[in-house]
Amino acid sequence: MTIPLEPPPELRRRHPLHLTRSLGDLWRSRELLLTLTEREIRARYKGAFLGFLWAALTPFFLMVVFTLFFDRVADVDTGGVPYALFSYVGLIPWTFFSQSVAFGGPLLVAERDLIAKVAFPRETLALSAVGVAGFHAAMSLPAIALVFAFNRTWPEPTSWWVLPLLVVQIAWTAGLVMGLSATLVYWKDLRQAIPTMLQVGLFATPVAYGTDGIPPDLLNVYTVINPLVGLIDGYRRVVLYGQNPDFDLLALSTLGAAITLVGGYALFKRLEGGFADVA
Amino acid sequence: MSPEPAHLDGRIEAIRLWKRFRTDPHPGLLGQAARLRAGGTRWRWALRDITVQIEPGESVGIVGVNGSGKSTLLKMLTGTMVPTVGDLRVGGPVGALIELQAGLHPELSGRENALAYGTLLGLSRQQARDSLDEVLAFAGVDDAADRQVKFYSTGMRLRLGFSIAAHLSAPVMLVDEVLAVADAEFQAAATARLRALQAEGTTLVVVSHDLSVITGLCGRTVWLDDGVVADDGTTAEVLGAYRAARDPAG
Repeated sequence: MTIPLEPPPELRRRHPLHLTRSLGDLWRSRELLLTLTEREIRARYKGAFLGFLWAALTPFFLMVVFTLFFDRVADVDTGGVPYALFSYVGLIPWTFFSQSVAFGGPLLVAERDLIAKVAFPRETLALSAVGVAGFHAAMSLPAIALVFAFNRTWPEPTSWWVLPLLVVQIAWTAGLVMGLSATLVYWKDLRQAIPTMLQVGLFATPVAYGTDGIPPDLLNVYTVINPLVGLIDGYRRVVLYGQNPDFDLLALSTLGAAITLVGGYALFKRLEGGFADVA
Repeated sequence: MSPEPAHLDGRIEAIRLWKRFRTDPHPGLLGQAARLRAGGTRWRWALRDITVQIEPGESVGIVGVNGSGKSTLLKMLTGTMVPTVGDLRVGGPVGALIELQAGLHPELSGRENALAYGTLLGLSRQQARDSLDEVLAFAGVDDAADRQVKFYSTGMRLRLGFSIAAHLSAPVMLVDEVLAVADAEFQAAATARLRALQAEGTTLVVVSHDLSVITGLCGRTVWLDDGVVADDGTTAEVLGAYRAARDPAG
């Protein structure tokens, strides 16, 4: 019997996505997610003299530069809060986000050996990037405490709102990193594009300035596209001003985050089958 | 041994598997037009119509020259690659002794790697901790457990990778040429470990160019030639035909 050069058409069929089953696998892999995060953190600081201090230094230096230069030029309206605190409360979530994307975007390609040789739910790799950046963000909290103390002020009691805001931010970041990392396997241009997008993003997001810096008629649409707008606005309100978040803005951020999370996960699962073929 | 549920019994059913790869690299913006004129992406079928059924606890060798599709088939059995066409059912978690150093992180110590790689291969963190001493001892790196793996010798890395993967209690174990570069002493230890797994009822699939390894471990052999199953039968028969085909004069 000779075997044809191409499979007969009746054998070909589409493979449906089983997202609920995938979510079950992901839940069973939660220990793996912890392990991958820990593996990266341990490896990154082996032999680094300053160790975890580096995690705090990135947003801190940006805060210093912003305070010394940006504030002088732009004359930002901080609502009476010292500019150092105002920018720092924006910079820590921004750094959490940008480090997740910068590290997680190219991660599947960087770990191509693992992808090609070991079978495990691949999204844990993308999610571990968020875990590593989240760990860094937590490490920079002592530094912000110092800046608060230096300015003789303290976070407002409404700061508990940070937790739900953080959930929305993690959802958005996770969805984006999953979508980007999976796309990058096939479309390597993204590796060049990600640093550029992040540089642009730092200035296109109200980090150095306030939400009032965004054209008002674009604000709603832009918040859905870039949920960090509503989130950083929220962080500032609850930590610095003792207010509740702006719920309209937060709803738009949550909408954007939900779309990105579901879309990014579905895209990841759709593209996952070919990772080992091309990574 | 207690009977396993059907989905964990170690049975492998590969039914009419086909797998293709693209032959041209991903073209840039300017290359796209030329590619479309040439009739779209060109594909190469690396595996064609592979049907192999392996019973729980069976040990099967796979032989074939370079490029015949052995490693592609193993990657699909491992689950890292997805068949383009066809049905593949593998009964339970798969342990893969394939290019074992892939999961090792050079910056981490042997101990850290044993924990991380074990979890990657499907152990819980507790299970990985429980088997840690045994894994390090079998690899013969207990003295170097806290040394970074980048300072290990090639042999130590190989032994550690093998040991981590070989201490999973997976119902299916895939072995691809991992013993080729090991020294005689570790080859003997590794072979003994594989026999112990066989005795426990683990399904074993062995790829090797060293036919004596296959003869030693497997009662049945599948011969892949240019992406198709050329022969499937007892090891003695298939290896006889395989040798005859490669060396017709002898």
